[in-house]
Amino acid sequence: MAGKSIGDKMLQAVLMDEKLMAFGEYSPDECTSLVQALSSDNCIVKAVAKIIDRGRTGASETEIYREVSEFLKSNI
Amino acid sequence: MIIKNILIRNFRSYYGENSFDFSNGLTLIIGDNGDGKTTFFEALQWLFNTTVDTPNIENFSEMRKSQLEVGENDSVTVSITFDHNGIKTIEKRFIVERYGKDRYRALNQEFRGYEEKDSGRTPVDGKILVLRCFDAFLQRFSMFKGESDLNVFNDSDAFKQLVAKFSDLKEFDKYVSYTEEFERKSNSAFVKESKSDEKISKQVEQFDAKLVEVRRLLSNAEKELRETEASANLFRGKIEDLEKHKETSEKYSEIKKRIEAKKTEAAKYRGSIAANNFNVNLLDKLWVLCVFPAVLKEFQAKSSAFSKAKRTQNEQFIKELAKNEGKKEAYDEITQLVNGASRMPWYLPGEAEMEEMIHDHICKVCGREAPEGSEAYRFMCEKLEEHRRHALAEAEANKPKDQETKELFENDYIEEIHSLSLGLGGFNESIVTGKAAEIGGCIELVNTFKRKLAEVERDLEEMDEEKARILIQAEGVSEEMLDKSFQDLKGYFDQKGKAEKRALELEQKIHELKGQRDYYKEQIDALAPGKGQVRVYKKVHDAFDYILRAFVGAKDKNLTMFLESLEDRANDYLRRLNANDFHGIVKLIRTAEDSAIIKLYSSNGSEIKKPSGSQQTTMYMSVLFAISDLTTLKREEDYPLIFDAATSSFGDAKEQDFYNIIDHINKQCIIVTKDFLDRSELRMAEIDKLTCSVYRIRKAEGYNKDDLSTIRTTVVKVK
Repeated sequence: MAGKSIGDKMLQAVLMDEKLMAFGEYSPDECTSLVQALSSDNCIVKAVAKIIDRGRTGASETEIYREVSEFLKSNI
Repeated sequence: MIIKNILIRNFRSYYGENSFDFSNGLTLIIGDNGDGKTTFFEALQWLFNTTVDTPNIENFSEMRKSQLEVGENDSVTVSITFDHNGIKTIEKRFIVERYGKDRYRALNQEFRGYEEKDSGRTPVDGKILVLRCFDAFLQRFSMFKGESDLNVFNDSDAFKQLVAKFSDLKEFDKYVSYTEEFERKSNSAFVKESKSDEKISKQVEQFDAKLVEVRRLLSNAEKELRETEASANLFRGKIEDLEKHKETSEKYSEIKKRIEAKKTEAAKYRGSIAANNFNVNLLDKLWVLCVFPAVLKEFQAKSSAFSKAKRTQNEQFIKELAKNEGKKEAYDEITQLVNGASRMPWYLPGEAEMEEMIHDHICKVCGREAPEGSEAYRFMCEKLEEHRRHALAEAEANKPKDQETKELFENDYIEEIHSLSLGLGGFNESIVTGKAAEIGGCIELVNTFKRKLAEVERDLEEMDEEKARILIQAEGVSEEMLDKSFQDLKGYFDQKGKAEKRALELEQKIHELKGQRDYYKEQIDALAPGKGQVRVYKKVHDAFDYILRAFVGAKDKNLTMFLESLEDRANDYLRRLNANDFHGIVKLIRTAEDSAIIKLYSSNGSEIKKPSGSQQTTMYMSVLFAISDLTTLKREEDYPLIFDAATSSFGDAKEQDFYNIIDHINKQCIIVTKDFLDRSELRMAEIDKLTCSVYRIRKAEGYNKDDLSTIRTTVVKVK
């Protein structure tokens, strides 16, 4: 775990959820960092990464919801 | 942070400069009661306290203070040198100045810091250095005073802080809250959008209304469960405290009753003493007459003397009177006429005839002339004078009798005095004499009350000391808590029972509500929207729902992993610290409030509800070592553990095993203790078996136990 940021660790912990994996049809090994996840082709992985990333860069809850829901509406 | 050296100068009993050097492992500082162990610990607490900027003269050495001349000053200094990414020093000091006979002032408190750099020693703000290298959080998990301080999780906030610092849980809390809101908003959007879809609109509306209601009920039930569990934990803790201090509580209750009884007795004596006010009694009860018998005696003696003197003088007077009477009779005999004839009575001739004859210059008795200046004329004049004297005497004789007899004492004052003397004596005198006896009795009674009151007050003093000793044994349990004692135990059990029963009911209710919630969600999920746009909204909501559950699961897993990791490490230390003894298994149990409690279990899974003092100490120490490991791991820095009198409950054998093991644990540990002492002498044979550094602190010889200024702690490095 050494060297990983808290965002990376959080992403990993969330993506490990089996039901989310089944719903999003992804493998958690594909993305081990936020940077990778933000560029992922999987919209669920990308949505989770966006939530964590925007939360860590100071965006408000409303802003994050608007951005992620718009993203999901276009990509899901 | 590895402590290299601690220097204490003129801090309370640490007179002058006292230096301690430390290795990376264990250092023992051994001292008996009153030798300065706690002062050492408190010097460090004072040094690390960044919240108080004013100097406290109480921290200045009394011995040094007594030596200061007027105009002189000296400093109180505590400094620590440590390795924390390079050698650093933090120094706190202030000046004490004597400016009058008994006048001292403390001034100029300074917090200095230094960092050793390639360029040399650089000064920095000491306060900032403390906050950077050994902040309040680390102090909380590094410094422990007494055994009761070791259970850091007694304070529910401590575990929360630990988790918040090291488990990333705080971050998760924020995201769980966000995603809950996202799920709610996306659901609302879907429900709103589905109204335009005739195929599912009615069903969505119906299920959503039920879902909203179930969620409300669920939220309320979860809130109530949290409160109920917190309440059950509170009562559980109170019961544990009471049971742990059962013996102390009983002793406390007994001594309190005895103190109350003695206080009542003392009040009774005080009341009796106050009721006998001598000043009031002087007049109210005529105590002022207590000197009367002596005065009366003197009065009676004088009255008797007067009476006697009067009688004597009277007798003398009567004798004198009788003597004069005798003389008169003798004279009368002598002055009788020569021929024995009788004298003419004095009233013949009468006064008027005499005056006529003198006027007429003729004696009308013998018929001879008596011209003026003649013998006959003088005779007649004398005769007239004699007549008049006799008439006067006669008139005098005809006065009332008391005026008639001339007495020596015309008044009866002496008799009155004598009568008064007799009147005051006898019955009256006996009453007043009784008063004196009453006063004597009263004074004796009051003195008896005072003596008894003094005895009771002495007993009370001893009992207060005993009570204070009991409170010390209670190790931090408040007087109020002991006061409530076991009268409250039943109440606590009842309330804990009620809370636990309610918690079970709520858990069941929550389980059912979650089932209902999932059912309605599944029903909504199972609906197949007819319109493409509604399908998209549904998918977006589903995505947010799954994401929410994943965040909740991750948060939970994170906390569980953190506890498991802490538990594993703690059990490793527990095994090592109790290598030759039963050790059990430490379990960290989560509570509803995301806090934790430390419990000890047997390997067969049963809880050890009443661990012995030493089992508790090693259990808590194991958790503290585990936390320290975690701190080191997370901050990539080591931290010392400093204990003051943490092993009081250990027996000799346990003590030796414990130190032999802790001596080889790779962690800086400073233990201030009175272990290894036998009648104030070090047990060197046992100390020699240890590899660690050992200091002996003790009071310098020749002190006066009543004079603080004669007491100083000496520091000797034993090995």
